[in-house]
Amino acid sequence: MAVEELDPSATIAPESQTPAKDPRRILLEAIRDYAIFMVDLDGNIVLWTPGAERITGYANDEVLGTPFARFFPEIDRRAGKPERILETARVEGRYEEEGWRVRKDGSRFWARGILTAIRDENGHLTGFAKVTHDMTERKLAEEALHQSEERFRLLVESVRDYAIFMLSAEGRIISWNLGAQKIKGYSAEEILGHHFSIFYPLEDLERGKPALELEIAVAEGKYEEEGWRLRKDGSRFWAAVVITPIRDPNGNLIGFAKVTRDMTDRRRAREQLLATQQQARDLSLSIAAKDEFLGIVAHELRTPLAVLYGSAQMLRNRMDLLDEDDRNDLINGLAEETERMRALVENLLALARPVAEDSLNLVDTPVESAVQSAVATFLRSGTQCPVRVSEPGATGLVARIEPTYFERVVANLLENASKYAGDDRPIDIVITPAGARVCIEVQDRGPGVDPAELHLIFESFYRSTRTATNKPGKGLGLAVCKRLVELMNGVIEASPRVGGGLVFRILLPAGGSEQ
Amino acid sequence: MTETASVLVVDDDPGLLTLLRVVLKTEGFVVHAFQESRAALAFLHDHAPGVIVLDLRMPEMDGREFFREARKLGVTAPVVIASAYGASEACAELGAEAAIPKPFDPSTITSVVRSLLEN
Repeated sequence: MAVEELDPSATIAPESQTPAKDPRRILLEAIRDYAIFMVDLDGNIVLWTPGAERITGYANDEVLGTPFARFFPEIDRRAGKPERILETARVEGRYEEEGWRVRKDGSRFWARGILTAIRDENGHLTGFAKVTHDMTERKLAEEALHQSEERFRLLVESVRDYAIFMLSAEGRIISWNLGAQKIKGYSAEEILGHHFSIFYPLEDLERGKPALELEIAVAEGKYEEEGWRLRKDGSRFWAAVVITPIRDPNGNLIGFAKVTRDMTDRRRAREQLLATQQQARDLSLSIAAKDEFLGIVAHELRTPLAVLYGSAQMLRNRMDLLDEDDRNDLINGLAEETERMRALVENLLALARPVAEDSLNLVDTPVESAVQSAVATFLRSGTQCPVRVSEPGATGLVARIEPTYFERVVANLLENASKYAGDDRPIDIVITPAGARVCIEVQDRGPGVDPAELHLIFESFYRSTRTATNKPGKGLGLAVCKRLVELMNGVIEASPRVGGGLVFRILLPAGGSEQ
Repeated sequence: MTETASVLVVDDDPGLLTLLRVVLKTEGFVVHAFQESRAALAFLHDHAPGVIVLDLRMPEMDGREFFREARKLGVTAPVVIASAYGASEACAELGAEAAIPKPFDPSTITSVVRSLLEN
């Protein structure tokens, strides 16, 4: 546009009716969306157009001859910006910028302007043409968007209870927030650019879990789980994780949003609650079991006590009326019932004694001699029951046991066998090797136990339907055996003996093995 | 034939059975002592004791069952329930004549048996 050919002094009135108007003037008048005007070398306005009036609010006669600096905010004017702009245009031929300008009514608009130097045929600078476009709406929209993004960024950054961060499509960390720093322990500077697999425990890395999670997120639109993650210091936390793929408007994957919450405390609380509930259940069961146990113990003690009490009364008050046989019967009864109570009390003590695992004195012990020692104890109770001990598979087998416990177990099994089978039926004890263990079988020829009841016979005071109540001292000996064998890291089981009776099989760790 | 001065004792515990036998024998009763309730019931087929001293908890046939079977046989002798647990309740339930909880004083059992025999 050859603006310099226009008559600067002419008024360009929108209503001008001049028929032979310069087409270039018509063009300038028609342009409404741009403020087009000219200033002289001092910055005073010398030409004004309807578009300039529409955008600034100033009419032609209000602005002609006044400095164009009036459109600048005061702060820019004071800073000498209008003069600098003119100087730049003078030197460089043009100046382009965006900035706030002021309308007549004092309101601001965002202007994108180009100031162009105008020279005559001789190249002398005669003034400047200014074309300004009102960009306020776009500027405001941009600012609103920027503010919205900024608010969102601040929101995400300030969230402390959630780690919210972004991953690139390859899984590298490209944003980080305060919550992430708090939960995972890394600052943004430390972690940006790292692959997010840094948060996973070794066992997950070996399974390729991080990559799998991204695959699932892509395939299903989301990946969600709770699992262990690592903090910077290597400690673990229980994380609730959501990974969401992020796509551009064309649907191309550009990364992932990852939100992680530290659920460690909640998990711990949940586990503690469950554990406490279980403890309460266990405790109430064990209290009930203990009550029942005490009731049975009291009952079991009453019968021998009745004999002791009655026999002592008779011997004290009726001695002169008793013949020798009666006296002997009563005295034998005293001895037998005392022995019965002693065995009961001993077993009670064995059951009741709290045993700390580390206080257990497990030593390598020759099994055969320990068995013989138990047999001797058993025979001292006055029984005539024949006991045969054999070690057919190997000799000198050694087990890692607590000898007093082991002898108590074998003695209980012998007492059990003689009680039910009778004093005249032989009991066999067979010691054999069993891999890393030693097997001790106690075989009786008693009435046996219904196979359906076999699993119950190690319960305290269990009463078999076959043996029931006709034998004294019932029900505690096998429970003691089970407890003591288990304390020695062994197992005990019972099965029917071919030809009648029961076989109790004890398996204990062989000696000489690593502890 | 009724043996007015005889007492049948049924108790599966050998110690208690011996004690009861000695106590009652010392007081002058004829005592028939049985450790097994079925054998004792068989005894009742051709004997009529004056009093029966009966334990409750026994294998095979417990005291309650023995009591009912004996009554079915027409045995009318008074019965003393001697038990470490629930003697009075069983006595009321069965309609027995007396209950003695274990442990007991020997003089108690003899006086109970004597009074039942005298009635």
